[in-house]
Amino acid sequence: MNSFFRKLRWLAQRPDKEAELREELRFHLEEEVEEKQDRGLPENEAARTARLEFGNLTLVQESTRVQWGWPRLEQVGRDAGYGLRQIRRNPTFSAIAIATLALGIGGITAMFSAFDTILIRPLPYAEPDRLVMVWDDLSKTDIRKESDPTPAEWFEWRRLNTVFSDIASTQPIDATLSGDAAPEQIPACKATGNLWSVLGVRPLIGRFFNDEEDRNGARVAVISYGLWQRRYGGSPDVLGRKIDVNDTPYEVIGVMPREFYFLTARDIDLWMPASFPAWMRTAFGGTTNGSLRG
Amino acid sequence: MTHRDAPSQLEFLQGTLDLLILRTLLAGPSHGHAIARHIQRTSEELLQVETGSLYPALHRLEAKGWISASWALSDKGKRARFYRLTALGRKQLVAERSKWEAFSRAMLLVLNPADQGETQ
Repeated sequence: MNSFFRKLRWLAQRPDKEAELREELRFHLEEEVEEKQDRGLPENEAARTARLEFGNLTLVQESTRVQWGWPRLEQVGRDAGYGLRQIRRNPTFSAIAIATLALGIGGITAMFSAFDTILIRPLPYAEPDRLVMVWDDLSKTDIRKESDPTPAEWFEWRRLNTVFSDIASTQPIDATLSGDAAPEQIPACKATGNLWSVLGVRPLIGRFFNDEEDRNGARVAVISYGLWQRRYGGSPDVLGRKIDVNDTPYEVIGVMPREFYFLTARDIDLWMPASFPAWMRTAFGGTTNGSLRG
Repeated sequence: MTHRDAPSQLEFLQGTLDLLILRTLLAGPSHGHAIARHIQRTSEELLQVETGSLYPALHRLEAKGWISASWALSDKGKRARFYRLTALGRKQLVAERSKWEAFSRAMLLVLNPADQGETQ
């Protein structure tokens, strides 16, 4: 380490060191000439022989100079400099090469992120292997292969259910959040009050809405960890806060855990009770999650 | 080349020049030219120290902190760069020296086995 700092100091004194080395080598040559004169050689002959014996002055300087630095590091630096010059010299080729690399790395990263979330890391639910998603099978019609169940189906399935311990339903919506700060468009989701017990998740702080609040159309909302941090600075005061969702007043009652995400939709920032009104018992799109009886 | 006329000159083995420089400086501070001369004279002109290996070696040893350099006047009154052994260099000299002695003893043992005369 001592040696490292000595070389660092030398780096700052480089011009001085050059001059010193020149003087040191000149002294060596002069000594050599004098010695030969002492042995009886005439002055010009002595100088010539000494010069010959000394060898290549530039080479000696170069190989001595190398000792002052970090040859390997400097080699890497020179290689990098050479690379940069090559990039500048052929910008079109370089741009294509860099773009190819960027796209490749980007693609792999995106793929791995998805792969990691879906296959490697366990889903952020209590019993992910007991959870299923339920669709309508429309393959016998010529409309489409499958379809999201309607609230009407959710009511009926829940009533007639024998295979699931419970069934919950969600419906992604667009929401405009306003009232407390600048209006903001956020991904939101309506959910039946039993979604939390079906997924087996707990709020980070506060609570979730329950079946009763869902039935009664309570104006309460649960926000994501991201929204909590971004808009409310992670303050626990957010509980009980009045916010406007699509110009309707809601009260924040809970915050989702940081690692929570919902597989069927985008990153949901706001959860509110589905509160299906009576007329929806006939037709509506939505996603239904069933939890198999354990 | 004129300096090749010595009867037989030896090439330096890797690392031996460093050891010889350290040993030479044990006698006291000295400049590059005097170090080269001393090695040459003491080895009965068998070892010729080229400037191309001497100065890189001196600066390498200085970088390692085994010797230190300062400018002073030579005995003829000229400014010269004098090298002196540091405490670290002294330690290094002891270590390198015993390594070298073990090595040369081993070489001799193999080259001149004691029972050579009897078996052949």
